[in-house]
Amino acid sequence: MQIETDFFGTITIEPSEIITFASELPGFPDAKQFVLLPFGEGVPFWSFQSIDQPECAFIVTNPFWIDPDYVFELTDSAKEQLSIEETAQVAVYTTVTLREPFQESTTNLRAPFVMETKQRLAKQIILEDTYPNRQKIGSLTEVGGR
Amino acid sequence: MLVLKRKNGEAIQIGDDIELTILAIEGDQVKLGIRAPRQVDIHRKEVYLAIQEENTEASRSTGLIGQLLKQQEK
Repeated sequence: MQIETDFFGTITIEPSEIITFASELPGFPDAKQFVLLPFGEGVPFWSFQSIDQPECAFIVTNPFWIDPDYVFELTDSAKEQLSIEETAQVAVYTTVTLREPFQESTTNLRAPFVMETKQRLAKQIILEDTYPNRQKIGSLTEVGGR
Repeated sequence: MLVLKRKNGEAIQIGDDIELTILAIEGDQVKLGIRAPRQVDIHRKEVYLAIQEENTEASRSTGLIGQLLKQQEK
């Protein structure tokens, strides 16, 4: 199927690539389905693009590149909503807020996107107080920073 | 907004499956007990608003990616 994107123009995706949100994404109640699009080899970011709303897209990264010790526990309720049975089925991404200069860019470690990788069900988990919602990503924005 | 007066230990039923109970009142703090189905997410309002705001800001900032990618290519 063809979709309109924020960055890549019109592209073709496979229905099997679609990620469906199991609960409302705060601030974007109408965006339910997304695809994860790489920017290219060696780029530590992806575009998390809504297929319902072309103008709704996020830059996401792998939070473990920012904080190797990043860890949180999923509540039973979240596991149930995402049909998660084992940790091997889970992928985690955090949104990036780009700022100028780029070294000031931050990622939201407090509210990661958690995705169950078989059915591709996702949810933004809100962790209480454990991690900041504006963690600087500094070196990730520099050439060869990863 | 619907306004109801409740005393310590009293509760409010919302729909068939959400129950709010006043568990304690201490000075200007009220302790609430919430019983709700698992698919209902419950957050402190200010935490939810902060995430909403951060999502909006993150989504608005994506326009800068082109510039960043050019910089990384160099």
